[in-house]
Amino acid sequence: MSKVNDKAFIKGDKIDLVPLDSDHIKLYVKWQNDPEIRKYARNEFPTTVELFKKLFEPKGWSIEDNVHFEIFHREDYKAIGLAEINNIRYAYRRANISVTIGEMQYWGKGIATEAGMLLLNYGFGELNMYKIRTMIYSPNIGSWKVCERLGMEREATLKNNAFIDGEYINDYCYCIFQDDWIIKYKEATKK
Amino acid sequence: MSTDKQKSEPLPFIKGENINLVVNRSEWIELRCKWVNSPKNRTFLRGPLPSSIDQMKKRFESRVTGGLSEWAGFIIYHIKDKKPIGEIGLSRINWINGWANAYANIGEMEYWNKNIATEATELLLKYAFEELNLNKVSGTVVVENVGSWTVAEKVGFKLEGILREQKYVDGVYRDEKRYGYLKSDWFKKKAENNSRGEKL
Repeated sequence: MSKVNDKAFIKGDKIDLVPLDSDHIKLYVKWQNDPEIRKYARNEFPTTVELFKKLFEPKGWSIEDNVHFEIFHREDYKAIGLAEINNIRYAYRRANISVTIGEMQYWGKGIATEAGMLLLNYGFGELNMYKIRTMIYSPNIGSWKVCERLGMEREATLKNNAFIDGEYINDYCYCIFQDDWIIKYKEATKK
Repeated sequence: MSTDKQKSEPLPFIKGENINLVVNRSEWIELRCKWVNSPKNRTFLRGPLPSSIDQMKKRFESRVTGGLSEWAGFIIYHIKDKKPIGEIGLSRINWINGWANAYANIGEMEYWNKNIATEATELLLKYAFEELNLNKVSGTVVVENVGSWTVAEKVGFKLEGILREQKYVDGVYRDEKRYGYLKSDWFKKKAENNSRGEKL
């Protein structure tokens, strides 16, 4: 039995998505800079605490092009990663998603898949997006398997689109559409 | 000299036949002030409070910010007569619900009853549905403002209901007609016009 988490914005099974917590900035920044975590996370430059704090500052307009969550492990009652919807283009009703499991002992346990599912439910069910995309480096096999488990399709391969460990590598674009997700989501909740 | 010429050329954002919807500019503030303060004009518009030039300036500048806009306003510019004659736009855009409120005001009254508002509204709807991808545009008109709701109905807005005693105008509480236009209505109308060889 998992404990009650009263911080949850979106309730899941093993995890909840909760609002970012300014008391956890040092933890978030540790994840962002950790060489193993950031290897496939497009963080080529160091993230300082001050830089991350900017996320918490009000921007002066009421609707932003991104939404950030902390991934909170219900059973272990702690923050283990970050999940976000970003690059929201409301006129196109399109956005990108990204998931980082910062605590490595939680890798390979279906956490990223669950976080991805919660983000898709949120993006399609609440933000009314039409298309949701994510970009995955080709050697990041774990992540593109997560995408395929979520029912996302590889719509394009961008050749030699990034440079990792001294080599140019391909970038895979995965996507899923609102209509397809709603069908899958309804089937899944029926079971 | 060339800078003066540039200054006088408006920037069309959406092109029409008799009018363009052009980008607003600070030197039109006094003119817009005249429009919204004119007694005949404002009867059914913004209510009884005067707008000073300073207030209008502040409002204009507050909209020059970054981020996703909840508002898209244009000046209606008469192509042949080369002058700004009114305003139109979408306010209170709600991006998640895909909804916005439409407003319009032909400030120069000699252009009333010349199909200007109809043309401008059609340009605005095309922008709302084909460019901003909104699902619904609404508009409310005081029942006595026959000119405006005639335009709304001509363009294809559907009456959704009457808001009882919604506005206090000239000493009387007046009912408002609430109109709505759906994206599906727009594309249906467009398909019908296409099949008749007319462009929308």
